[in-house]
Amino acid sequence: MEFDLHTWTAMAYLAATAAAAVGMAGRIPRGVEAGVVLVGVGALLHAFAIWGLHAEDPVPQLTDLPFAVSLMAWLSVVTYLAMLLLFRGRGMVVAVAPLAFSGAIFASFGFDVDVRQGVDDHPFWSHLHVLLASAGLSVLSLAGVAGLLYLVRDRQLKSKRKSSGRSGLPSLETLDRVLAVTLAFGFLLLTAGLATGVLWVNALTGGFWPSGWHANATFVAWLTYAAIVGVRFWRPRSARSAASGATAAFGILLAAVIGVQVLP
Amino acid sequence: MKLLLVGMSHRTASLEVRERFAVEDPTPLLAKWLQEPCIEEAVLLSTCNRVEVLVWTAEPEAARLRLRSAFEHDIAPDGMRSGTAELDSALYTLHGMAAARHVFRVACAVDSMVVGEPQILGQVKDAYRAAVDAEACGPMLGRLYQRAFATAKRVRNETRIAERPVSVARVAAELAQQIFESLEDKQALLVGAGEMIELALETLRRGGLATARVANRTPARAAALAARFEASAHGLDELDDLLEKSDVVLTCIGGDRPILTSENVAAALRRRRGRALFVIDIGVPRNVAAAVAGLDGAYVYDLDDLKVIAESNVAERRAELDLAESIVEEEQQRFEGWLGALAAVPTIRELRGRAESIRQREIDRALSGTSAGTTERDRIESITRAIVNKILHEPTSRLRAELEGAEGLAHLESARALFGLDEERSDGARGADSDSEEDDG
Repeated sequence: MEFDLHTWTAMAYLAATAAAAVGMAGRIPRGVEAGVVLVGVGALLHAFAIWGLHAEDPVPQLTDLPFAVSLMAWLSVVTYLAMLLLFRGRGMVVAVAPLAFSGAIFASFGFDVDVRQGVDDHPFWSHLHVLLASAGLSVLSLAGVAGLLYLVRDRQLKSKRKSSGRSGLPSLETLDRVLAVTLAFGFLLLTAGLATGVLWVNALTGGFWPSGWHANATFVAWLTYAAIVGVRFWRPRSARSAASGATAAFGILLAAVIGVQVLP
Repeated sequence: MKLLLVGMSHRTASLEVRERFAVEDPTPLLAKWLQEPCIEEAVLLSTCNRVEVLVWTAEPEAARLRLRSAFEHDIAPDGMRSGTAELDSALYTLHGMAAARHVFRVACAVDSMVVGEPQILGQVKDAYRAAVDAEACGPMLGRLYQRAFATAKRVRNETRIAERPVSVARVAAELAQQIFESLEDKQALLVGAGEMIELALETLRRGGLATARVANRTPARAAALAARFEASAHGLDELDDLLEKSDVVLTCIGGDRPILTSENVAAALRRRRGRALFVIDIGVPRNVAAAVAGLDGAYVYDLDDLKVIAESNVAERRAELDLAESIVEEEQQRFEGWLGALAAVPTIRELRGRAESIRQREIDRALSGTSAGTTERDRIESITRAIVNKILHEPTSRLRAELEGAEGLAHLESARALFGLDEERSDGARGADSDSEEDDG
C-alpha cells in the first residue's frame, strides 16, 4: 500500500518538476502554476502514503531512514504550500518539486536498514527527537532552496542578460524573506531536535554526546546555522552571504542525516 | 539637391562613445553649419541613443566631409575626442531616400533601442523645433519632418506597437519587480528633473510605488516635478541620506562626473543592513561609477544594459514591427513622390510659358491690321487662355502623378522630348553662347 502510494506521490512530484521546468524555461506562467498544483496533489497523496504506513505489520519506526526522509519531504512540501499564503514564491516550485520527488522516491524504494538499538526502550525521546529534527530539516531544506535560488537570481540580475527582466523565479526580496523566516524557525526546530537527541542519548547511555558521523556532522551544521542566523539577524550586511551560508549548511545537514544510518 | 544624414546610434556606438557626442544645445552648431555653402538646411537630433545630423544639400560629398569633420571637431568636446578609427566605425551615412526612410523609422520608434517607446517622437519634435527656431529648417526638411510626424501617428494608430509601449521606464519597472516583491512599500529616489525622470516617476507610480523623492542641482525644478507627483524635493547635498532610505534609484542628470561613486553607495548599503539597492542610470554621460555594479546588493543597469533586455522585446513584436515598416515604406514613397513632383515644377512652368508665348504670338498675328477693339481682344484672350489651360491640364496632371511612381523621371524626360523643351533650352543656350561670343568679339 505505502509502496504504491509513495510511487504515485513520486510521480506527481516528478510531473510537478517537469511542468515547473517547462514553465520556467519557456517563460510560461501556467507551467509554473501547474507545477504548484501538482505539488499540492503530490502532498495529498503523500499524506495518505504516510498514514498508510501505520496499517503495516509491523508498523515501521519513525526512526527508519526511509520513513524519516518521506516525512521530511512531506513536511517540506506542506511548509512550502503554507508559505505561498504569505509570500509570492510560486517559482520556488522548480526546486521544491525535485526535492520532494527525491524524498518520495527514496522512501518508495525503502532502504533495508536495521532499526537502531534503544528505540523501543525510550520511544518518547526517540520519536520527539526524530519529529523535531525532521521538522527542522524540512524547514531548513526550504532555506537551502531559497538560498540556492537567491544565488541563481542574483547571478541572473548581475549578468544583465535579456532574460533578467522576466525570470519565473521569485524576486530577490521574496527569496530573502523566505530565507529569513525558514532560517529562524528551522534553526529553532533543529536546536530542539539536537537537545532532545542529547536527552535520548543520555537516557540510553548516561552520557551526553555520542561520537560518530551523525552527531558530529549535525553539530557542525548547527554551529554553521547559528553563525548564519546571528549574522542574518544581528549584523546583516549581505543577503547573498546568508543565502550562500544557508545553501552550504543544508548540504552539511543533509550529509549528517543521510549519515545517520548509511555512514558509521 | 539631396538629403544626407550622418550620425551614430545605439546600433553602431557604445554608450561610452555616444556620451562623448551628446549635444545639449543644437542652436550654435546649426548656425555654424548653415554658413557652409554646401549645407542648405539642417536638423540635429541628440538623444541618449543617437546623435544624427540631417541636411539638405546640393553637394552631398562636400556636406558629408563637413559633417564628418563636425563630429570630430564641433560636437565632441575638447579633450574627449575619439580616435579617427573609432569615430569612423561609429558613424553611418545615408543618402537620399535612405535618409528619409531612416528619419521616419526613428520618429516611429521602429529604430529605437526599446521598440515602440513613446519618448523618441517628442525628442524628434524638439529637434525639429530647435532647427526651425534657428532658421536652419527650410521647406524641404520641414516637409520631411511633417511627413515623419504623420507617419508616427499612423504607426501608433494602425499597429499595436505602441499599444503597450515598453519604454526605458517600463523596462526598469519590470526589472524592479524581479528584485522587489512589491513596489507598494518601496521608496524611490530620482536624481534629475528632466523628461525621462518625469516619465519614469509616472511609470513607477503606476506600478504602485509608495514614496518618491526627487533630487536635483536646481531645487526649484525638483520641487516643481515633486509637486506634480506628490513626491518630496531635495538638493544633491542630501544624496547620502537619501540613498540609505531608497530602494530604487533612477539617475538622469547632466554632468561630466558620476554623482554616485562606489564609496557613497557602499556606505549606504552598509547602513541599509543588507537590503538590495536597484540603480537605473539613464544619464548620458553616465551618472553612476562603473565600480558600483560590482558591489554586493547593488544592481546597476545603464542604458546599454536596458538595451539587451529591450532587444528581447523586438522578437515578440516582430509582427507589429513588420506592419510598422510597411507604413514607413508607404509614407517614404509618398515623400519620394512629393520630391519627384517638385522636379516636374520647372518642366510644367516651361511648358506653360511656351504655350503662353505661342498664344500671345498667334493673337497678335491674328489681330494685327484688324479693327478689333479692346472688348473683342479681351474675349479672344479669355477664350484662348481657357483653351490652352484645358489642353495643358491633362498632361501636367498626369506628369505630376507619374512622377510619384518609380518611373517618374523617365516620364519627365519623355514629356520634355515630346514638347521639345530641351531643344528649346539648348537653342536658347546656344543663342546665349553666340550672343556672348559676339559680345566678346
